[in-house]
Amino acid sequence: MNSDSVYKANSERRNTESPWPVAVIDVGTTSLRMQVAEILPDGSIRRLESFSQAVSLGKDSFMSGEIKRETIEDCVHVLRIYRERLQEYGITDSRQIRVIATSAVKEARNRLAFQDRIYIATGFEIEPLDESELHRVTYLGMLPLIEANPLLSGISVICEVSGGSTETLILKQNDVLFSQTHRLGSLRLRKRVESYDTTDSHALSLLEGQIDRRVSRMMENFGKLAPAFYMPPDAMIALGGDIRFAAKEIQSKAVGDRLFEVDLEKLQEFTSGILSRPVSQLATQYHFSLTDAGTLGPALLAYCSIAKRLGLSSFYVAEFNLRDGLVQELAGRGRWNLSVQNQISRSAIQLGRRFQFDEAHAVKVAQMSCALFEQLQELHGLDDRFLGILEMAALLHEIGLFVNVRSYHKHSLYLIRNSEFFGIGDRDVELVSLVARYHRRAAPQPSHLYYSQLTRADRVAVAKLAAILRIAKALDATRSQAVEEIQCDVVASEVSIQATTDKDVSVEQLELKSNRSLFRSIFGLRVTLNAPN
Amino acid sequence: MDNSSIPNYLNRELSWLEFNKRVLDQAFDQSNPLLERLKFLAISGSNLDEFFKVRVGGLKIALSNKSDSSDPSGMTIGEQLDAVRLRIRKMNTRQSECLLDQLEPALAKEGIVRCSPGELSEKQKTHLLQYFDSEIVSTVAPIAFNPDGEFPQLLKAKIAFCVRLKFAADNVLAGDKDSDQQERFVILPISGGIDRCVRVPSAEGYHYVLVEEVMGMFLERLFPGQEVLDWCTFRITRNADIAVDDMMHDLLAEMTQLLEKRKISELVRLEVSDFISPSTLEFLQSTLSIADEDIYRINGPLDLSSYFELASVKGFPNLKDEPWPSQKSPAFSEGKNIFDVIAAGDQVLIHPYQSYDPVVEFIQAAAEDEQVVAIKQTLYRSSRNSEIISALARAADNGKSVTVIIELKARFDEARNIEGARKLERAGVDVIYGVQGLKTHAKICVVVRREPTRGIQRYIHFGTGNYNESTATLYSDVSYFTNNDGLGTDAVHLFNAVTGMSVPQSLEFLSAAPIDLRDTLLDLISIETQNAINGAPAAINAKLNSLVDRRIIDALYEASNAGVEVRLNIRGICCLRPGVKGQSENIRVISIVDRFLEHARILHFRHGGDDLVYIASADWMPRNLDRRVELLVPVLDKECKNRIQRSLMTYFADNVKATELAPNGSYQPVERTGQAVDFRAQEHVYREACDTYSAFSDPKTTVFKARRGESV
Repeated sequence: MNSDSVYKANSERRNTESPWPVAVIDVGTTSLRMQVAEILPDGSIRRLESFSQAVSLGKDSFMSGEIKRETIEDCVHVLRIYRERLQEYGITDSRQIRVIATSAVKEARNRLAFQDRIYIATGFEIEPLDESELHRVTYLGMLPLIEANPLLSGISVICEVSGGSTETLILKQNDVLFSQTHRLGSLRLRKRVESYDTTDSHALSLLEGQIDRRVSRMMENFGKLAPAFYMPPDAMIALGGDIRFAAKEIQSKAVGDRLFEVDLEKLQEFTSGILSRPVSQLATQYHFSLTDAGTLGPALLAYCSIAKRLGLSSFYVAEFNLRDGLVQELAGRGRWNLSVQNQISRSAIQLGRRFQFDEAHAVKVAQMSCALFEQLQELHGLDDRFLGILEMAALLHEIGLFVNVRSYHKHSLYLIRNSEFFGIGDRDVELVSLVARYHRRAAPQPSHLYYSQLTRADRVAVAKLAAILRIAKALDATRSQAVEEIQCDVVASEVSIQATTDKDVSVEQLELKSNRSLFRSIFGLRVTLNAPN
Repeated sequence: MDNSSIPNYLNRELSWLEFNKRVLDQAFDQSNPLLERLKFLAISGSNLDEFFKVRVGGLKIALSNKSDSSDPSGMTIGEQLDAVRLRIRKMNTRQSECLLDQLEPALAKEGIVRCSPGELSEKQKTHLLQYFDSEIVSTVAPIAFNPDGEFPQLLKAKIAFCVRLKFAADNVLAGDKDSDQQERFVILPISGGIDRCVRVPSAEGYHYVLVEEVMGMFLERLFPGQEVLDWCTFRITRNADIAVDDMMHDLLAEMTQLLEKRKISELVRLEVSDFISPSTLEFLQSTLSIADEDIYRINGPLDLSSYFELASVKGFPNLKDEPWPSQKSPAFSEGKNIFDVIAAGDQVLIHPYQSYDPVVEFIQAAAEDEQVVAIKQTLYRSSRNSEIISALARAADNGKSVTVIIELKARFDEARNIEGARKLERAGVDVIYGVQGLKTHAKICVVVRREPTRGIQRYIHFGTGNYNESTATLYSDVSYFTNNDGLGTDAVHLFNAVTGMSVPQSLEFLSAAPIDLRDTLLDLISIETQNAINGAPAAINAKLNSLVDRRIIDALYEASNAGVEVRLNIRGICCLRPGVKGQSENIRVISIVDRFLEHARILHFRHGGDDLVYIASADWMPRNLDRRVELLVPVLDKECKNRIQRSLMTYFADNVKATELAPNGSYQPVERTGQAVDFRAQEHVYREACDTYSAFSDPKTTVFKARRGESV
């Protein structure tokens, strides 16, 4: 479907001769972390410096639902320091910096006030990262490691237990079968334990029970939602600072580049050792913040439980963190690069199949959409992120037919809006649903539900993409995939599409005439289709 | 020796006194030039002063806290104090003997003559009188002593006079009948600014009179109408081991207060000249309320440290060491960009044989270089008018981001460091006063450059010595320059941790105290032990200033028992007891006291044939491993590694200045095998530095430069 020519490298945004310094800041549950790196001319990444400061965002957010004023000011203080360090590196352009926030911020009632305060005080724009985006970033960051390692060529379960949640990603080789977020977080667990009014050993057994119940529910989902998944999987790859620390402490052996093998029994032993000791003692011995020392035990317990439930006696720990993936995305090879886009399309096709869509047609429309988008780049001026959105919309525009033929485009809209995808955030899913909705009938109007709530830029983008999608759909009006390739030329006030085909495309030409008005009203150009015969 | 009856460890105080004995031995050593011998005597004196201020002070505080713990060698605090005092009294006797019986007569033969007041000519007396009136009178302020008041602090005084006076019968100021019979005492501190040895005119050579004797000659001029009954010199030493309250927010202000406190802290020693009159002694003892055991009667001049002055008198080259000027390093030749040099390959310098200039130039170049964006530097003991501090201030002025971790708590250098800190702060440098509860002892300077093609590059100087240009000519230390990326990342992470920018990130190459330095050392030692058990070659060679840490000593004993060959070159304190069967028979400890102060910490581990070489800022003492920020730096570059390892091994071949620690804690000259030729390590390293540079600058060995078309 995605011929290589469809995706070209990201638009030039810098001098590629010299290294490009970038930074990502992760506003996490227990700490604010920053990674400074350089993107080298060959696209590889050189890590320069990492920072970490403890903050109690998760504690506030998970306990009271709100980030306290002192905590906000703590964050301001830390981010100001980070800003200064970035100035030293000459990292001042917003394109060089990405600040993301995970569950602790997303779940806080006052997240907007938090984001605003940070922006006013530090100039950093915090971007809350959706779970599916989190999975995309993780996938992207892990990809080189997975591809390089023959141990990971079967079914592998990637999991990361963080303060607020546990992320799981199931891969078959380098294809994403399934991804999901579970509300199993080490800080949540720690807070829960602290709220029990009971003895330590009893609290511990309650904790174990709780983790185990959640993990078993997690496993049920695996089987249900990823049919190709089997037990035990070929590998489990654990990510996260807690497990990396444990792997080091129990002297796990390296089994590949940035990959260590952890023996479950040893880990269990180590974990009970950690859980039996007071948090303050752990903090002193290992030079942790109190919060980090407190979440270590619950996190390790969760990893043990997952591995055990998966039926594994050992698993891998990867030297990888979210910031690495984010840096890779900043490298521009990232956000919509080929392999990630493939995974996103795969998850769209999976959804399409569930609603029994005409796959061949959908794929052809997607191909035509992408070709139009690429070739008319100067006309629409949208970046590659929108190419991905357009492709998703093209793949899914007809799924509403599953519900009813009447107004099916509106059914497509809500089906898409309420589905989970790998790698694409809520905001982008919304755009996909709207582009799909506008592939027929009424043109976008300010009075329409959802559309009216978009920003102006997004409204314009949706209209442009819908217009392109309408042309693409016309190019396969007979659902016979008659048109192989297209070549677009903009001549005077006309877009002339030259089709490569050995079939009759007169139906497509007719359909185009009735589908091109939105395109014309947006771009001011008439569209014509020419075929060899 | 059998280990069943003796403790496993040597007492650290006595071991330190052994070290000072080795210094004093150099003053007796007739193979040293005379003025150098005098200098060693002065060193032994100033060492002892510091020992009193810190160690004896510490012991006395422990005693008054009723601490009944005993040290690893099994001695209680009381026992240690007794042993220490006894040892010091012997040492004082030897010091006086050395000066009076050996050095003064020998120096006199060479024309450096100490004259006693009785031998002076009229001309000389007139000269001294003038000197007294013009130089001394204006600087001495007699302090009449009021029995209810506080005893004068005498902080800046080298020595002080105690004068017993009586009003003359005809004195109109004498007041009533009772008091004119009373004796009174006046304290006269001799200011630090006055020469100890006052030169007098002489036909040839260098004739001098000690300042206290000049004072003695003309004392009555200071007390008109009073009778000087007698006088004597004395010195007091106060405990300087006062802890700073680290929790205080304004450390700078706190340190300034500490310096004040130190002036009035507890007395740990009263030294008096042997000829003191019983009544003067009684007066001093009662007003100072000092116990008998803290009074030291000195049969000769007090304050030997002030003999540094005479030892560095102009002229007399035949009485001094042949100069060993610092050699340039071929790599850092003039005209080369220092960053290009380091980028081309790691560089090692061995100071003071090789010049310290590249280190200063490194920071100076960073201050001016367009591509430099940041400098991060630790300062522990900086020198007066430090060029390094000036360069850092200039860098900040030039818009670089400059972070300096300055250790205000560096003992006895606080005042100078406070001054340096203020200067840097004024220039806009981000000055960090170290980490709460820890002294920053690591020696590191990171220069961050943004280069057009290579991006962010870190150039690092790791050292074993303080960034102090003046001591760099006297201390033997190692500098390691590198552009290695991994070391660079570790280095900035260390700075971020110390400056509170970040919680400590895990370090890949460096080990830092108090985080993992001790564990790393224990691991490295235990790997040798394991290798020896498995029959693989295993060896540990280390050069340190002190070895006190018990866990490390135990690990070394274990290594020895496994058959690891352990060779230690420890200048100062060593609590490890070597050569004990079933404990340490494979451990050899030598110590070298020579012209330059051995200061570099270098470690070598055989590591199954990998030969790991490290340089470090830390001694193997609990305070270094637990209460200081210290660094252990692996030398990664092969050539640099070999060079450092070679210099480390050189010391074990020394048979001139080296002494070896015997199981009983004493040090003996190293045994010479057969007809071994003299081998003096410091001289060898110096000659090597000369050869390296001359081979480079000698045109005969220059590589021919072919001329190609474009350069013609």
